[in-house]
Amino acid sequence: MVRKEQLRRLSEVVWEIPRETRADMRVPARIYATEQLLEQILQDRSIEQLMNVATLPGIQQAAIVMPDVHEGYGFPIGGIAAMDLEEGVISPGGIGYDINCGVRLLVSELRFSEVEPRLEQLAKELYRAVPSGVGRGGQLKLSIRELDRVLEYGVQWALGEGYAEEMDLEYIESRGRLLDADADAVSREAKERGRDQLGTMGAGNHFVEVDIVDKVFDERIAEILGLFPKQVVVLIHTGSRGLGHQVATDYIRTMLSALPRYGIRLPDRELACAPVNSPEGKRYFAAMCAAANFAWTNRQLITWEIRQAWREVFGAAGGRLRVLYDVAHNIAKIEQHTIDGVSRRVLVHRKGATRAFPPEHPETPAPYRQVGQPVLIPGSMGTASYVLVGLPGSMEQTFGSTCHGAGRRMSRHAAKRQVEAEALKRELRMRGIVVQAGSVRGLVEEAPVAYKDVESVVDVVHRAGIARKVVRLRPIAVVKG
Amino acid sequence: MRSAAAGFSLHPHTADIRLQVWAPTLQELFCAAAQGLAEVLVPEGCQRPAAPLRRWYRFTVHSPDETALLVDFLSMVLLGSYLRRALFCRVRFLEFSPTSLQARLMGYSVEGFQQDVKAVTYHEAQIRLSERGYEAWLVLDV
Repeated sequence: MVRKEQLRRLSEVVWEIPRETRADMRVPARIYATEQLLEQILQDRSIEQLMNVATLPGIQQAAIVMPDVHEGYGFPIGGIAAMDLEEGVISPGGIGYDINCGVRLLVSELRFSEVEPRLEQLAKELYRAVPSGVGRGGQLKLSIRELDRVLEYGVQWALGEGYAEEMDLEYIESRGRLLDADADAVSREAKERGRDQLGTMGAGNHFVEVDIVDKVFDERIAEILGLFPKQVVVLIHTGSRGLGHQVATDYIRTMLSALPRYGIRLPDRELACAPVNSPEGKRYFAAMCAAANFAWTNRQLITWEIRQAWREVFGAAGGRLRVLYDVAHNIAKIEQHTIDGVSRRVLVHRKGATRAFPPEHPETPAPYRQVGQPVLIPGSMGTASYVLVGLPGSMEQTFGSTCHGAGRRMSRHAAKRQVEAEALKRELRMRGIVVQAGSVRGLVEEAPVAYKDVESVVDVVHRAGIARKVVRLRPIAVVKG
Repeated sequence: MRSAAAGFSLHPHTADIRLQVWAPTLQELFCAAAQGLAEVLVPEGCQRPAAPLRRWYRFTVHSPDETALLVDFLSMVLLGSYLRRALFCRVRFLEFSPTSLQARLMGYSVEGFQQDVKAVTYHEAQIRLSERGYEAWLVLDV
């Protein structure tokens, strides 16, 4: 285990393990955390895992973790690693099994007082409209040919099929389509797993949540984003479902077999990787982009289902549900970053980390360009979530990235031992939160006690100058599998 | 399919599940691992099958070594469970070597699973010799 004495404090919330700490580290390892969060982080093996990431060929500047970091497999969850395109590697483990797991925020025109009388009905309607649960399929079962179009065109496909509004695309990271996607790089098995899963939430920590804007930290930016106090919004958290899981499984296996060919030695097999420009690396990148397109389309189909449910409950008086933004937090992207004073294209792995581009970045939607890209940070079930915007510090310090959530601190088993389902439901109800959950077990496993305090996580990135707090959201209804 | 000396146990992990398996022979170790995975997907689903074992799934795997073979084998069991929407309780090996196998799984249809296992990971996976014969720890991403 890493000890606190091995860390150098770079600022109030940034810590570093020098490169010299381990002979095989190519760059230092950096941790964003308060002293208190750091104490928690050091209790698992996430920092050893971060040091392993620092050994990967072609890694640039530093291996970085956000304050919501926790132990994963291979890479820690909450990690960022940028790789040189010529000398560096791409690692499926640096993205995670749930490719393009991410968050979308829909904003309504209604205030809490207008929604409250029909909140129970809304929660039931959302539970009915958005299929959830383990391995559960949705209303659509696509042919492999049609699925290939989803994999290559992403949300553009959904627009053509009537599941999206033209304006939605503008407010999705990469407009919901990565152009490097190649459906032929995705296995038949992965496609079979995914063909009936569009528009489904899945289980685990995935959810649809109705929130209200509870606190405004920055009125000017909130107004530009179209957020106001007591406004009702809907948060969606899910990813690429079984299709993405299978893509990752397939390519970790491929890359493990290819390691000797490239002379790569790893401290952990789950770091399996291949040179970015190798046949295996290129093919995985094309498959990952396809799975990312599938995930964005999945959140788009869920948006369509939510809009149907909203109309069912509120009719024309419900107004429009607009996409505020959609961000990926498990992905790798080729981006332009300044390294040692030189602007270069690098492959940024984000595993449990969110892109946070600053004001004036060309990839930020034009209406938000003056304030920065919105960053959506979901809290644990029943606790606050946050909307932030990216700051210039993210480009200077973290390859345009920030945290992704509260970060798990307790195992599911421990949560089940500690939390009693009925008591949890009672507690949520007392706090005015309506719950629609398919499984009591799932509910207990996601109890707030199992997670870090999201507020302290968000405060770290705010204080570090990589993202600015705009509003806090408070849940009023939770829908999950 | 496996002797009384073979078995598995489930252990907590911060975000995932750790599966410990042991057995006197490699083949029995693989069977115990498949049963451990089934237990995660549907607790007690193989102790008390809800239907006769009429669903089957057959596959071949080649891997660089026996530990990778165990992970890849379990990944295929997981894939078969999702594709066939079935819980597989029995394994028969048609071929078996430390780097390749052909297996036939027998199980029954289920409505759904209780735990979403995203993947079987190679993280810290290692087959070791112990006083119980072969032993391995695996991390399931849930």
